[in-house]
Amino acid sequence: MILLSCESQEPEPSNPMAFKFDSLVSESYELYYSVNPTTKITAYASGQELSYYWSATAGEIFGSGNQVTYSSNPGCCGGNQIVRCIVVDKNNGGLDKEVEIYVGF
Amino acid sequence: MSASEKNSVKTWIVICLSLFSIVEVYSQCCSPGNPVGGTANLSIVPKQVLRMNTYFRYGYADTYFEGSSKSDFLFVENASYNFLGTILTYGLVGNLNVEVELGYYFNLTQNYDINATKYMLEGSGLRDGVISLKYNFYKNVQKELEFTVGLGAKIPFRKNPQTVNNVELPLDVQSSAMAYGIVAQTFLYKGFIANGLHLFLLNRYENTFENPQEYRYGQALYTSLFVSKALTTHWSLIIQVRDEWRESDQRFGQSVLSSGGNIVFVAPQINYNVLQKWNISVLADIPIFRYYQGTQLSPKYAFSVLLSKEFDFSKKSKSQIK
Repeated sequence: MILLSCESQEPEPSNPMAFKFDSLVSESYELYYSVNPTTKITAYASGQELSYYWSATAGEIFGSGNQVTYSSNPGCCGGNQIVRCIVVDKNNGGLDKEVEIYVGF
Repeated sequence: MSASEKNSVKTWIVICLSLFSIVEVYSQCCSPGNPVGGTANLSIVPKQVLRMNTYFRYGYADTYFEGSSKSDFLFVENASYNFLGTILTYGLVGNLNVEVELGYYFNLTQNYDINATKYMLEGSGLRDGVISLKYNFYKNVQKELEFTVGLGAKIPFRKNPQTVNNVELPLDVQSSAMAYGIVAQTFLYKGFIANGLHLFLLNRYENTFENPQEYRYGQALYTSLFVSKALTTHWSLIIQVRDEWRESDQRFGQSVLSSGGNIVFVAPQINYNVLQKWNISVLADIPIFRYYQGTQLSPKYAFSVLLSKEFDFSKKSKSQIK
């Protein structure tokens, strides 16, 4: 059986105000304290009056907003660390994403 | 022993114990220039008497140590804190006291230098509280000997890490360990009134449980020996030697490499007694020996100002009855 449709093939216009958390991107996914101790991590999201909440399993996070600098803490914890970002939209709750960063010394 | 001598001993006990009570855990990775804070105010007060020890403390650190040697490692350029604490001790019955320790960090600041780029993180807030019961097991006035034991619980005022601008702060600048724990204390006093000498030996053991972030601060033991000497009616000098030992912290059940160690401090202290009612003390903490596991930021110095006062509610009760 063949089904035919008369609906338009054009994509629906995207709503720039729709709440989306597209991606969480780190400049580097491997940090070695003596070589590259920090990396910038950026959250790409859209929505209304967004707030960005950051946390890490270990290490320091500097800055705020949609882009922060993450640094390994050489005195504390090596191995794989998780940096988490929660984006909260004014009307639509929150979405979260994580990046895993390897920390070596 | 005469009444004035008894009074003198009591004053010494209050001063020394108050000063020991403002011990701070040394800075190390992942345990904030922090503040779990050792307190051990083990002399007891009579029934219906309230003793208040309030103190301000400033601490500073800017040098990393590896083992017992200075390290040229650079991550945190310097760290400092300003802390206000109070210890309230109340005589319940006979030889039994209840004691509450509270404190607030105005700031816990770390300035970083990472590949020549400067950053700063700063936390603040309430330190974990401690509530203890203390019991005087032995007191012999003729032998100038006294022994008291205390047992208490650490109670966190927060269970989740502090955030600033929606960013979670690292453990090093958190004001709280975010975990319950137990605290045990012993206090031994021996006087040599004939020589005008007072000796105090205090021990405090802390065991902090794992927090919701699955981080557990290592067990800590503080041992302090005080020798005191009166200079004039109002002024007195106290020398304290204190050892602080801490085992490694645990994170996700695994030992944190750069944590734990041993530090010995010498703390000269001077006290001024106002009208036999108030005691004002100033002291400095100077590390004279340190051994760290791994590489850790070590305290450089700290100073404290302490105000101590007792309030006798039994007198008020008696006067009300009359």
